[in-house]
This record gives sequence, structure tokens and C-alpha cells, in this order.
Amino acid sequence: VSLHEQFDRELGAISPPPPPAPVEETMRRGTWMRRRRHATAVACTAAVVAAAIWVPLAVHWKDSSAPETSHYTVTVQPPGPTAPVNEIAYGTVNGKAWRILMGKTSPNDASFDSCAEMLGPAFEPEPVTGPDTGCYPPRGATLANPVAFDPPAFAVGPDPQALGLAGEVAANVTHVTVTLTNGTLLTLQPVTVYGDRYVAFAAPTGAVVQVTAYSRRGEIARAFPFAPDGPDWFLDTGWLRPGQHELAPVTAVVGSGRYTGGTGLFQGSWSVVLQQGPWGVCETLTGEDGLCGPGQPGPRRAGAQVVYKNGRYEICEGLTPLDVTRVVLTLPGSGSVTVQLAGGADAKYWAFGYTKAFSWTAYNAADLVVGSGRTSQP
Amino acid sequence: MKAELDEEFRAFMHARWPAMIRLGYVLTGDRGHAEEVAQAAFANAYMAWPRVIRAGNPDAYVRQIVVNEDRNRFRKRRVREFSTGSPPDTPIPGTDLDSRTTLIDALKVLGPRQRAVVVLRYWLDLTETETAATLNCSVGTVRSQASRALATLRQHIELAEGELR
Repeated sequence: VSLHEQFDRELGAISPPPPPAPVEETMRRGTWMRRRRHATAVACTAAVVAAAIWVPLAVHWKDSSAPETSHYTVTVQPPGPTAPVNEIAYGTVNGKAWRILMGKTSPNDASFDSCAEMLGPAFEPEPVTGPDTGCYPPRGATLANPVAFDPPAFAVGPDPQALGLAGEVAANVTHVTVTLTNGTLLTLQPVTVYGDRYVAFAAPTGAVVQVTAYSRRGEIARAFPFAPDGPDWFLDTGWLRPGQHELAPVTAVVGSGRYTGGTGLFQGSWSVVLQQGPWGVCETLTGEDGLCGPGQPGPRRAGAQVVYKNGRYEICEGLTPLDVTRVVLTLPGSGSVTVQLAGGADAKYWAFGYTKAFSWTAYNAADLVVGSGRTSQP
Repeated sequence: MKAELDEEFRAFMHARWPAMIRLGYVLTGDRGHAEEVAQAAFANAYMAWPRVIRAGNPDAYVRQIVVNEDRNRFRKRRVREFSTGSPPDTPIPGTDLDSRTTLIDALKVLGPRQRAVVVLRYWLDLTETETAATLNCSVGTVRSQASRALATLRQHIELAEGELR
């Protein structure tokens, strides 16, 4: 019996027929992922639109353990004269070499050309390439967000050794520094590849403390890793200008409930968790990506947006000014409920799962209405 | 135009969903994980659907994401799983379930990459070149990984002579 026949026989014996393809849910999920990528929020209220800028951020899993020792070494170099035209940087982690290039060397096809490729023994046992969920163009650098890092890519395997990051840099950036937990300061020189300027580096997982971008005039801004499960992620929207203070750490549940009619990842209970810190303010839906903003105090208007949709079940996330003391939801045929509010530095947040349209009203301490709206029918 | 693309994606997903579930199942050994992996792969494909269509091989694209998702899943859950003093599930005496699942059980002893090589080469019958492209590695790596994987499998199950092609 060949392996092929053995596979077929075993699969036929133990596999019940797969469930129907959840096509519409998958398309919505894909749309949502794309929407997050493109920073387009969908307002679920026509009356009021959130004034805060929520910029999508993919929160990938991070190794939850910072390096147990500071006895590691990291080097980074700009490409040498004989390097491939698409190389951004090379170096070592604990003596093991790595190279990071920008796409177009993949043997596959043009659809994969926007990936940063991370190669070398530092990323062993396997190089990190291909169209996995962490493979998107590291683009979007602006004067406000001087470095747009791609979602981090890790060495695949039971013992990841190195984290690789590549990012596009804004036109005014002359160099970028990376501070590591053992005090090492890496200096990254932007390299132009296919017309865009990039920086890249590799370091042990959990080793990054801070990234700072500089122009000819000095420091532009600094960013800190967002760490929902671990230490390595950069919040592009959370760049702090010189003189801006870092936010105090806060973790709070914004809302919770149970999926109705969900499949795959979207089953059982859900929760939206607010995580605030030097990276800014992020709200993360269970098992999914986070919506992040810089979290800096400023004027806010009450608003809400859909963050999950599956058939007639939706999860709506709301934002209110800091002076709001309660938000009341009026549900069709079920009276009203007061939702819990989780306070960040910039605003208060709430989340609610529903199958029927509802209206919401935000009140301040004087019981004055400071905002209201109505969701559309799922 | 968008409606046409959406319709194309719907037809593609309906047609390929069972195959990707089976691939996910063989890679993960778990129906729930297989559905997660397959759905994530299709969602990724939909997110970049025009690009995927232009590339001309959506099946290869989704298959590659399924394989990558499985490898990521292995990594993602690494720190969230814990060992217990005894296995939580034990075979039911008198059934032939253990013999029927021998190969799929044996796959679990392989690392994600070797498991993927075995599945792509010997179940999906991809060529070494196609397998290398799916895994973003060299043909030589596919050969060496396949050789090591089959050697490991032979320690657990009986394989036909000449299986290593």
C-alpha cells in the first residue's frame, strides 16, 4: 500500500464530510482584514462618527518570553557592494548570520513580491518567507509615523531564535536606532530598494526595548513594542514626539459575549481587551487583530464601529469622551442596558454583541447627553 | 468587476474547501484546527484575490497558506500547551481505531516542515519542484526532509518498499 493510498484510506475512514464552506463569513473576514490594513473604519452609526483615528494593526503572536539573559550579541550592517539589489540589511544574532531582502527573489510568482524575506541561520530552522499572515508590504511611512514596520516575522519552529523586522521609512529619516534589553544600540541606515526606502534588523525575540527615528535635525519620534502576548511588536501609530510622555500601563476588558453562528476561530465566547502603554492604546478582539491608536489625550466625540460581522451577529465597539460616565443601549423589545466602560488615556471604550439593531446614548456626570447613535440592522 | 471577482472566489472556495480541510486535517491531525487553518487561508486569499487570480494558481496560493498557517499554529500554541502526567485520551480496547489512524498519528512525530513535505509529496503528489515552491525552500531541502521524514515514519509504521521516490 503506497503512502498515497494509506492517506486516502485513513482519511476516508475517520473523516466525516467537511461542513459546508463558510464562504460569506470568510469573505467578511478577508474584507475586515483588508480594511484593517487600509485603516478604513466602518462607522456603524450614521449620527456620529468616531473622531479618534483608529489605525489597523495586525497583532501577531509573540514569543511570551523575553531573553532570559543579556548575554546575546546582535550586529547589523547595510548591504555590501556585492549584495543583491534588493537586500536591506544583514548581520548576526549570537554569531548566526541573517539577511533581509525585499521580495521579488521568491521562486513562486509575482503575487508574493511584497514580502520581506528573512534568510540565514539566525532564522533557522526555517527561513521566513511566503504568503503567511505576517507577509505584507511594510509600507505606509509618513512624517507622523516615520517607520512603518511589517508585522514581525519569526523563525518558525519550536525554538525561535530571532525576530526579523523590515519597515519603510519616511523621506526625512536619516537613520533609525534600536535599543535592546542588554543595552546594545543598533543603528539602521535606510536603503533604497525598488524605489522605496527601508530599514531592517534581526534580534532575539523579546529583546527590543525601543525604536527611535532621526532626521538631520535630531530625533523625530520613538516607538515601543506592543506586547499583548509577548514583547515584540511595533505600534506604528504610537510614535511619540520628543517631549511627549509615555502612557501608563492599563489593561481592561472593554466588553465580552458569545458568538452566535460563528465557525472556525469565531466560536464560543469573545472579549475585547484594552491594552494601554507606551505603545498607545489598543483594543483586541479575542484571537484576532487589534485596533490601535496613539492614545494621546485630546478632544473626542462619541462614536462606534463594527469590528466583527457574521451573518446577523455583529460586535460593535464604541468610544466616548473621558467625561462620559455611562452608556445606555436601547435594545428592541428588551428594554435597555448600561454597558461597562473601560477607560484609556484618550477615551473610554465599550463593546457589545448583537443580532438586532440598537441605539446607544452616552451621558456625562451631569446626566447630559454627550453623544448618541444607532447601529444598522445586521 | 468586484461582483465578478467575488463570484469567482465563492465558486473557488466552494470547490476547494473540502480539499483544504483534508489538507489541514492531515497536517494538524485535528478537525477544529483544520477548519481554522483552512478558513484563515481562504480569508487571506480573498483579501488579495485580484492579485491571487492574476498569479494564475489560486489553489497553490491557498495551499501554501494552509501549510504556513499550520507551521505558525505550531509555533503560536507552543507556549500555551502544557504536559500532563498521563495522556488525556486513551484508545478504547476492542476497536481498530488505533490501526486506522496509524499514519496520521505517526505524522505527529514529525516536525511541521517534514510533515508538510510528506503530505505534499506523497499525498498531494506534488513534484519536488512544486513542493519546494510551496515551502519556499530548495529542491535539495525537499529531498533531504523527505528522506528524514520517511526514515522517522518507518520507525512507527510499515511503509511500502520504494516509497522514497
